[in-house]
Amino acid sequence: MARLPRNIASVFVIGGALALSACGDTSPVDDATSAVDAGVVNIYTARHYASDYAVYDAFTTATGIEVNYIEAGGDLLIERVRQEAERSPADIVITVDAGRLWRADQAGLFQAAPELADTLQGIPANLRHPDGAWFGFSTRVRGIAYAPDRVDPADISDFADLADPMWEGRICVRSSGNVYNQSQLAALINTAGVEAAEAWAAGIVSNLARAPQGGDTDQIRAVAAGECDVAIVNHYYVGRLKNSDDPANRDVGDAVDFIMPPVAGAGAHINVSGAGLAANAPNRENAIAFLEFLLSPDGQRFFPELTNEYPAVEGVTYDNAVIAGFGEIMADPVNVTALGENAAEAQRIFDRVGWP
Amino acid sequence: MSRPDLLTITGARIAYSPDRAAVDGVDLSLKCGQVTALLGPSGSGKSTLLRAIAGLEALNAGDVKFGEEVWSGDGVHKAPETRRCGVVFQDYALFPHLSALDNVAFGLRSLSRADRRKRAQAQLDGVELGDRAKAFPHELSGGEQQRVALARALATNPDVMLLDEPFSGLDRRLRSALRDTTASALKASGAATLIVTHDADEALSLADTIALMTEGRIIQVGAPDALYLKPNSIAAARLLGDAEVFSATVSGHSVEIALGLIDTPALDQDTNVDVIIRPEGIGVSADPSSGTAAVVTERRLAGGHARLSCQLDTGRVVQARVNLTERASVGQQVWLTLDPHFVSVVASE
Amino acid sequence: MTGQLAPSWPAAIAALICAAPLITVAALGVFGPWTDYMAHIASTRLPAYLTNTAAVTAIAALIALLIGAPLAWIVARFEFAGRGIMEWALALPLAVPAYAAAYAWYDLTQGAGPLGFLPTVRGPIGAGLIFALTLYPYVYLLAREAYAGQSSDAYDAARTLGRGPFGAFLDAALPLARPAIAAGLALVVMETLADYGAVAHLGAPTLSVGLIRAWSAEGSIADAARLALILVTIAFVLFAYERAQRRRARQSAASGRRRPAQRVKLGFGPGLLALLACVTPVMLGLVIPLARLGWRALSSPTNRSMVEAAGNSLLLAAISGLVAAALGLAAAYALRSGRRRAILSARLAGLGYAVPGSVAALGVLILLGLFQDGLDQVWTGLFGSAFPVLLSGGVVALVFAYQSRFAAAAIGPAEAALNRVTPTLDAAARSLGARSREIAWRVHWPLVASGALLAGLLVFVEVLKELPATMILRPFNFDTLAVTAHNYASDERLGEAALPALLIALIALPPMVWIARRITRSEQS
Repeated sequence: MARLPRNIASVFVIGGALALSACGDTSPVDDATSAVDAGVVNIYTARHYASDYAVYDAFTTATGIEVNYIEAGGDLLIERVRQEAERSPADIVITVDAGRLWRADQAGLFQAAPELADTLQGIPANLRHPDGAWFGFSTRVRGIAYAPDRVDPADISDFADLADPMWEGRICVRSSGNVYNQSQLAALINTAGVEAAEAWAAGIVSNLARAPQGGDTDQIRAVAAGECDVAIVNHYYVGRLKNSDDPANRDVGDAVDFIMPPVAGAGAHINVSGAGLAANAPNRENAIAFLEFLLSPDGQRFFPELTNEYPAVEGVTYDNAVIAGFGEIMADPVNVTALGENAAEAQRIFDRVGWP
Repeated sequence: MSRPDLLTITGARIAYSPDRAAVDGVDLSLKCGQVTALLGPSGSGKSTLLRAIAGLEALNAGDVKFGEEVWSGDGVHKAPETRRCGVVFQDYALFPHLSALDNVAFGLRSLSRADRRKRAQAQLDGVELGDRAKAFPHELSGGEQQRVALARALATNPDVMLLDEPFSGLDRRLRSALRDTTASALKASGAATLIVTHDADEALSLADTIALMTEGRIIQVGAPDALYLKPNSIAAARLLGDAEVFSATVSGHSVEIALGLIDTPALDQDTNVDVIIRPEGIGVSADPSSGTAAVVTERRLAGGHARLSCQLDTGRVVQARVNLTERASVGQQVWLTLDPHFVSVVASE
Repeated sequence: MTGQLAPSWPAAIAALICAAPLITVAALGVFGPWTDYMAHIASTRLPAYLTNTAAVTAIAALIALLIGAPLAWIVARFEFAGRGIMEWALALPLAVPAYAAAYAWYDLTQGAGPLGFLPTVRGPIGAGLIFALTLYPYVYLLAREAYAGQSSDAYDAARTLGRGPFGAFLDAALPLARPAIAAGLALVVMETLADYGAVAHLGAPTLSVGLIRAWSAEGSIADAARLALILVTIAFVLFAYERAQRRRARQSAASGRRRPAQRVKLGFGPGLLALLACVTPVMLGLVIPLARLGWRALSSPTNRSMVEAAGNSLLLAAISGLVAAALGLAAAYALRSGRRRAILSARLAGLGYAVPGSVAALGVLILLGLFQDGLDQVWTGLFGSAFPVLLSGGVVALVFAYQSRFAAAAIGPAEAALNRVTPTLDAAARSLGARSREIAWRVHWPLVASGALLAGLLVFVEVLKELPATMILRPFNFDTLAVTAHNYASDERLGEAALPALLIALIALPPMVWIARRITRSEQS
């Protein structure tokens, strides 16, 4: 509530200034400068989670720097930064997958942050851009939720196994339009090549228990309800159900077990939520401070504890027994940049094999 | 199958609010092959009565019967679509999305498609609109719309035809031409017909029977000429045309008014009466040997007659309708005589 | 032409402003870089996208018609217990975002859900049903307006010509309300074409899903624009066909005195049936989905305050509704002027509705970028510094985006209302010595006010629900209810999404009641 007056005021300042200037008033309002004086950092983010708000609040408490944010889909965010060009108020751009970070970098929307070089060493090299233009700060692992009474986990030593006819009519997975599926297939393309990836996708399609529908949680529910035996889902949906305050949700979560098998022998598929320093950041120093904070142990803990994601920085301790209990992640060592490079090809494979 | 020949309305009452009835205890009957005109000022409840006959309004009391069959009343309300009533609405209510032919064919559902079109075309031919079959309502003139509406209502061969101010939107010349078309079409149909109108000429020229209605009640029913010559009240007289009214009291077997002495054999001594005189009943002559002296104050032409305003010695001005050949001019002294055929004596209300 | 009341050019310019983002998208599609994506999609998924699009749209339109038109008739023509409430309550499902209803119904009917014994609401049929249940109020509202203003004579005539109550409704009353119903269905169809969230969730990938994929996976906004153009073309062809169909049988009712429709009082049994018929769609479109979300909300309470988001939603929706009512009228005048260019621009403005929100938002972004560039250059030339205001991220940009997106919702009702103003009325007023402005105020406004209000209301509700443009064009730290609901729902947290979704419906309620009352009152006088 406390924010309401300020927001509305700012809204009218913008509208009013437009009206004034249209009438030839020449007193300029340099919002970028005043923003620096006020000590703010402007974040364009595709995330909208409790962990992020906790990070913002903790950062403001620690530094006095106010966090301004806009949440929107990654594609539109990138487009907005591009259209605003050198006038963009964005200091930091955050997306929920590496593919879009890669694309934003291709569009020249990031700048290097040499100040962060040491901090970035804490992040595994494959979870950040080789030149440090952007980096992952939290990770999601694509795994398999299965019904322990109907599935022997030994049958799934690798994601490739799911293309085997033994799984016919037993697999649930969401639509291929979803970025999690895209990035997993992009990783497979990197490991095994286009043809093998296409064969695998075709195998999954012929093993589907039902047409793709709903989100990851709905796939887990379907396993719990017996509609299918295995579901390809992100770990944190399983973690959330198992950690839920709602007994009904917890029952669903407890009805499944979760494993994170490798993809074609390369290790478990990992995607990152990542951040980059905007090319025209008006509050560069504050932005660096924020990114430092994001990667600090205090910042990192919020992700496992509030959103069931894994921290990207190695060795961070946190309190979430469920996701810690999923075991050690034998991650695919491929650099997440490859996910962006192969995203288009992955989508075309989905189109060709008819994965709706 | 013998067709009943009578639609009877008994004690019909329709009230939208408890204290004011739009139709208040109406008795009326319609004969097959005959045209009845329901004449009254606007707001008198005549359209409401028509809608009640069609089944578009429910009765609060009374009944509507066709022969022995109850249409409305006593907890019965036969749906409009089952009443075999043809209705021509005041604004014709043509379906704007249908051509003239399809409008006419609208009610002919039991026939095959081809028969339907043939029948509708025949109906249109009957109202001399055969060549306009494909036109849409907005492409038709007012008179053409009226005839399409008539053809549409007649097409189903209804037992009862109800026409709500069928000529009100049309110009005078068109009106009289359409009146003839309509009259002959109605006669040919053999239906019991009710025409609601506020136009006395229309009622007089079209109807076999006229019912006069004011304030929800029917005040007089009769043949047109009888009604015109012998209205039973001032209100009834005024509905059908101009009238001079004198108040007087019966003395012996007659009453005396400014225009002379009138025999009243049926009335009691000392009854207060109104003497109603049609303008045609007042003769004007230059011959002083008989009549009441008066001075012509105004002369106007009206519908092929001359209308003379004549001032009596008492100061009262009366209107006389005379032939155009009567040359009496303004300022001239004349003598007025009465034709008893045009005089009606009624007890005062 | 001296008899013309309003000059057509301001209206045409207003319409053109609304159409600008769509034109930008079209230009992007035509002049943008060509990749082989179109060839790829044509040989793989395009047939499936097109089939799904046709199926979902047809089902949505058909069911919305079957719900909206008869109920509008019942409410306009009959008196029964609860009618006064149902009259506006029937419009309420419009306040439920289609994606929210989709999430709730899918959650209810999937295998393990409480209504799991029913067929799962999914696929093209499920999606069509969801759109019908949340969008039928468009048909209902516009048809109700038409019926309430309609003379009952045509219906009565049909009754005396042998039609039962239902037959007369079908053959006489329904055709008379056809323009209004067509306008309502147009909105249903366009919003269905543009939807992404519900069809993606229910597994009925339509063209809009293909379009978002072109963008998200290939990064090709030009190809996304091209697929958007296909959507727009579909909408354009459908409506051009409908208009051509009814051009000859013009609906302008013949002049003459009209009997104001008297509502017929229903007996207990039929009255109960009527009430039941009205309650059912409200239950299915509003109460059940919100109850499901609410039930989930109870088991996972949110700790974020909704007051600020509600205030922001209200602010945006109110401003946009007012502007839209004015622009809708302007566009309606453009259509009325009969000038070809004016008509084209108004029709173009209306088509923006068929474009998925995110693509429309993209058009606005690009347009703002171009405009900013131009402004900056001119300003630099004059004062040596860039233009002091950044156009993106302000309420002005948002309102602009909403107008371009929802112009169709504003133009339809305004156009229908303006149809009541016959040229003879202008002539009569003019002959009585009234000048243009006076005619507009004393003759036109009283006649079109309810239509303009309806236009404003529809946009008000649309803005309450709108997502992509709101998300990307809003100022910093500026949450709305729809954004909050979507954030939770897209994160598969139905419970937390319930409260803001419920609030959207509740905020939409008072203006709907107010306008419903106003419209009813103006009919009585």
